[in-house]
Amino acid sequence: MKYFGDATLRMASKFFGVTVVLLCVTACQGIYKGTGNGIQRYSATQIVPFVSSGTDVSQACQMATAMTPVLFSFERVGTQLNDSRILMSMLSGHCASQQAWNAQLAYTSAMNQQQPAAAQDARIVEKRALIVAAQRYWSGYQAKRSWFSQISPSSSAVYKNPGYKNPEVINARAAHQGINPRCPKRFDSSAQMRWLVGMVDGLLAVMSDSLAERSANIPLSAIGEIAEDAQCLRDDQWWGMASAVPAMVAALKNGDPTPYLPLLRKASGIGYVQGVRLAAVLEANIYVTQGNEPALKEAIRRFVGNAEHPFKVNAEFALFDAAATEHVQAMSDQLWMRAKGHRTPVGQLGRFWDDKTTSVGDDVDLSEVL
Amino acid sequence: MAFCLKKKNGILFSAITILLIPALQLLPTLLPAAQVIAESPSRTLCIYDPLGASGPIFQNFKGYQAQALQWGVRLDLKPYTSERIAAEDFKSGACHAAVLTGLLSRQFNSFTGTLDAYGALPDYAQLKTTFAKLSAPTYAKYMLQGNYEVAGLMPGGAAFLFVDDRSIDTPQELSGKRFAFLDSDPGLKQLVMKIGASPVNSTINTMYSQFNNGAVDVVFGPAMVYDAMELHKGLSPKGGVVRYPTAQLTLQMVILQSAFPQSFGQKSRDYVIQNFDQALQSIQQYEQAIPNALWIELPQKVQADFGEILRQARISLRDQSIYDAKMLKVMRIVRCSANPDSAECSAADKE
Repeated sequence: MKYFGDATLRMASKFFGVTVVLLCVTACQGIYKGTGNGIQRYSATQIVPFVSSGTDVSQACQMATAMTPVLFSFERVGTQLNDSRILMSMLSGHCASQQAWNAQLAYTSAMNQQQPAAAQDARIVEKRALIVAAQRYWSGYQAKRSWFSQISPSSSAVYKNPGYKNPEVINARAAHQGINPRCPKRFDSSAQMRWLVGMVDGLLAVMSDSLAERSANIPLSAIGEIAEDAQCLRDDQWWGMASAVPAMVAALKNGDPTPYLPLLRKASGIGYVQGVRLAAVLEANIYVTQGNEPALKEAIRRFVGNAEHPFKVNAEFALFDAAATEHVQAMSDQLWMRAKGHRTPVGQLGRFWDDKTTSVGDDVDLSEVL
Repeated sequence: MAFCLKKKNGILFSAITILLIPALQLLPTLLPAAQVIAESPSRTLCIYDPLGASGPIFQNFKGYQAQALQWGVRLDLKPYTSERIAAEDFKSGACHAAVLTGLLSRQFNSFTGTLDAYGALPDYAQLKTTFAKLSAPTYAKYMLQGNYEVAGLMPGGAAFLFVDDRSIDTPQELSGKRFAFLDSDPGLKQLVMKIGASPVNSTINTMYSQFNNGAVDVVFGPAMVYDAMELHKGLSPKGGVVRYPTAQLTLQMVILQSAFPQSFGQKSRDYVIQNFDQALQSIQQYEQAIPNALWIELPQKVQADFGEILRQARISLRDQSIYDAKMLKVMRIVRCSANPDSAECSAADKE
C-alpha cells in the first residue's frame, strides 16, 4: 500500500464508487426494463383475457385504477404498454363514471326534495367525476392511436397530421386499391378487440366531456375519426358495433336521429344475439339525448330481453356486457329516481313503476260459471 | 311466568318481525313519491342544444335548475336538438321558458335579438360589457316585450368565415363565391348579396357537409363547428378561417313572465351574467383548437373595410326593421367607448 499515495487511493476509491453506481444503474435499468417487458407480455397474454372474461366490473375498475400507476411506471424505463393501457383506461374510466352516476342520482334526489344547495353540490361532484372519466377514457383512446401507429404504419399515416390529411381522399385512393388505409395491416382478432375498446374509449371520452360541459376539453373531432375507425370492424364479429358507432355519431351530428334509429336498433339486436350488448347502450343513449323517455324505457326492456328470447352472455367478453349493463342500469336508475325517488329495485331492471301489472288468472274467464 | 311471558313475547316479536320484513322491504316501492314535495311551482324549460340532453348547454342548465329552486321555481329541463321545434313549443305554451340562439329569440324580443347583428361587437370584452349593461336592473324594461322576458344572455361564440381558398382575405374576393346561408337568417342573405357572393340556401344540418363536399365555398359559424363538423375536410387542402368575428352569436333564455314570480327575470339575469367568464372559457378552447396555420390574419385596413361593409349592412337591416335601432345604438356606444377614434364614431350616419 505504501506504493500508492493518498491522492491515488482517493482517485481509485472515487473511480470504484462511480463504477459501482454506473453498474448498479445499468443493471437496475436492465432489471426494470426486463421486468417491464415481462409485465407487458403478462398483461397482454394473461391480464387482458382474464379481466375480459370476468363479470365484476367494479372489481376490475378498481384493479385498473390502483394498478395504473404501478404498471405504467415501467414506461419510464422504456417498456411500451399502450396495448394494456387501452383496456385499463376504459376500466379506470368506468370507476369515475360510476361516481358520476351516483352524484347524478344525488342531484336528482336533492331536486326532488327541493334542496338546492345539496343539488348544486351533487352537480359539482358529478362534473368532477366526469372530468376524471373523460381524461381516463381519452388516455385509452390515445394509447390506441399510439399502439396501432407502432404496429401498423398504414393507420399512423392518417393520424400523423389529421388537420391536413383529407380522409375522403385517402379512402378514395384506398378503395381504388381495394384496401382501407385507416385499418391496420396486421389485424388479428386480438388487435381488433383493442381497436374496438379504443374506439369505445374515445366515444366515452367525448360523451363524458360533453356532460361535464366540455371542461376536459376533449377534441370533438375524435367522434368523426371513431366513426371512420368502425369501418375496420365487422358487425357479425363485434356485436353490431361496426354499424352502431357510425350510426350514433351520425345521429348526434344530424340533430334529428330518426333516419339512423333502424340501423341502431338492428345493431343492438346483433349484439343481443352475440352476447355482448354494447350497441344497445349507444342506442339507449340516443334516447337519453333526445329526452325520449318512452323509447328509452322500451330500449331498456329490449336490453333485458324476455323469456321467449333469453339473453345469453358471451363468456369470453363477459366484462364488456357487464359494463354495458351498468350503463343501462344507470339510465334506468335516473328514470326511477326522477319518478319515485329511488334507484331501480333489485331484480327489476327492464321494469318500470307505471308498468301495467297482470294478476294471476287474469287470462282465465270464469264468467260462464257465475 | 314472567320468564314464560318474556319468552312468549320474544317469540311473538320474532314472528312479527319475520312477517314484517318482506313488507318493510316492499315499503319504499309502495309509498307514494314522498320525495317530490310540490311546494314550488313546476315550470318547463325547453333547451336547444345540438347534442340534446348530453350536450354542454343542457348540462350547464343543471346548475341553473338548482339555483332556480332557491328562487322558488322548480324547473323541468327538456332537451331539443331542433331549435325551430323548441321555439314553436315555446310559442304554443308547451314550454314556460326556452333557451334559444339570438337568431330565433329575435321573434320574442327584437331588442336583445339584435345582439347577433353582423360585426356589431368585434371582441369578447365588448360583448361582456354589453351583456353586463343589459343585465342590470336599469335595462329591465327592454328585456320585456309583451309577456316574453329575456332572463339571461350567454355568449355563443364569435362567428367566423370558413373559406375553401385561403387567398380570400378581402371582402372583394368573396364576390362570386358560393356562400351558404340559413332561411331563418334574412340578414345574412342580404349581406351575401351585397358583397356579390352567390347565396346558397341551406339548413343547419346540411350547410357544413355542403362545405366539406365542395358544394359551397364559404360557410359561417362559431369555432366549435371546426371540430364538431370536421371542417378540416372542407378546408383541405388550401382553405382557411378568416380571423374576423363577423357576428357574436348568443344564447338567450326567454321566459313567459306571467308563469314566473315577479322578480325571477332579474335574479336570473344577475346569475347568468356571473357565469359569463366560464362560458367564454369553453368558447375560447374551441378557437384554440383550430390550428394556427389555418387562421387567415387580416391587416388593419382590411378589417376596417370589413367593418364598414358590415356597418352599412346593419343600417340597411335596421331600416327594414330586422334589427332594433336602440340596440344598434347601444352596441355602437360600446364600440366607440373602446375605440373613440374609430371613423364610425363621428360618421354622419352613425347607428
